[in-house]
Amino acid sequence: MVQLAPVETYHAPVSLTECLECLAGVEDNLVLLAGGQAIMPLLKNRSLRPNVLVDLSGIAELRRRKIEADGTLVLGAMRRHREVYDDPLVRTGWSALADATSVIGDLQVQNRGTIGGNVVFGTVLTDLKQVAMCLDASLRIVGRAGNREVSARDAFGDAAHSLLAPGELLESMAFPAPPPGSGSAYRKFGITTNGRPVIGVATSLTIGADGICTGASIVIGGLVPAPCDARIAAQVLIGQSVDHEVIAHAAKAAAEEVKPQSDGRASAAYRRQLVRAIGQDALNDAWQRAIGTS
Amino acid sequence: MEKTISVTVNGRVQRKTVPIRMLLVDFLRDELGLTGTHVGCTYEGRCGACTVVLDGNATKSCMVLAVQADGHRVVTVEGLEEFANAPGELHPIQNGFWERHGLQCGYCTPGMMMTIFDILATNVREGSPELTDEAIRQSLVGNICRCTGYSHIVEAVQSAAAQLRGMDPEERAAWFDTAKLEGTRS
Repeated sequence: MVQLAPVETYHAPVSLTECLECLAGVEDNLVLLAGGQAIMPLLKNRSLRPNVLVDLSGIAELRRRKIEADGTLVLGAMRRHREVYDDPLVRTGWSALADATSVIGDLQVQNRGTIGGNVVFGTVLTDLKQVAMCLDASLRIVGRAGNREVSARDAFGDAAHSLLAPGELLESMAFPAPPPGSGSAYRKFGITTNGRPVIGVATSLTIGADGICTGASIVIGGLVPAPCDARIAAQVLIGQSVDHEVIAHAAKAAAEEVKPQSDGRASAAYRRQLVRAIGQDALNDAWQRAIGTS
Repeated sequence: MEKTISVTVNGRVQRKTVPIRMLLVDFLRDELGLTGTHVGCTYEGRCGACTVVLDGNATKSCMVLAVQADGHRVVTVEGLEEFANAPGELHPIQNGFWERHGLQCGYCTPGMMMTIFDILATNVREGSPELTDEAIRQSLVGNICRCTGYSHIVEAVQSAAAQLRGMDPEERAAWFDTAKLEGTRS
């Protein structure tokens, strides 16, 4: 039998207010359980030995999904991966988000794991950071001292940025309405099927009626210390009449723009190859979707 | 350190006082004696043998604490027979495994069946469209069979899906209606 270290207290708050009260005073020896699929192994091998566990799954406010008047999609941080990719509206409007949530772990992980947990959990090797950056998401953070908003690009693009202060929680993520004629996509390569990304590429393209690209974003994850917003590669597309050749050229530029690390999972050179190959596929997907909607 | 929880397992309300750190899989096996739910890896969440259906969703029971299941519904492999209308009748999933030789050593089978329960329940809700082998394989990524008998497992799912397709919609849905389970056992 494998057991966690003994836990003194388990809280399952049913509201945000109650939850923030639970967080008061015991921050240093407390673990928040979102979906638990990434943190449970650390509890079981006792890398983490919290006195207090706070389970967020009973808080209805964190599970919400709303379309605001201006078309912004707001997803509560405890929205589960499968709820996200099963959502027809997400699939059509924010395809990169649907792509990414459907390749995070296996079905059981997708049933349990949450979008908030994926971005808050302390590793850079996640899928949704690059997607949130690419889709220009903003993060709503709540705490007893007050609420604040931070853009995903600021929060995840800079490794020195610490997302949450003690006693704070990620409440939701807001994805602005995609402009007309746009499409987005996500592709990744992991060591095992749906494993953590060795490289993961999120793309978004806006194509005018004349076939000219008016907006492009390519954000690459799986990199240390933070995902790379490949602006030079995106510029290769903007103003161009998009075709397979332009896309191949942009993917090559992205591979040159990143500064990949070498580690036990892949060499820097191989990571560049992945950026080029996966980037090309992800750009093609986004392009096809953009044409389909324009 | 301990908490009293009330979990509906296979239609029966189970009220127990358990340590906070107890995993759901240990609660099922050691507290309730439901040893059909297996532990295949060393609780790392890698093998899927401990998969149960938690509120309708396939979930690895080694990746959830028992206290997290408080107030929720769990179906284990032992629960499958409870959906039958007559004693000895097999669930379409069990029947599919029987027909297509979907198990060899049988160790991964309980987890496989409970993931398939989720897949087919979803398929039935969507009106039982044809499932592609590729989609079935994709859904079973989290369940490892070290006999490597995957082809037969995919065939077993197809066989179960075909049986369900041959039923009228009400009968089909009844094989996945966990509320019905509570009605018959309370």
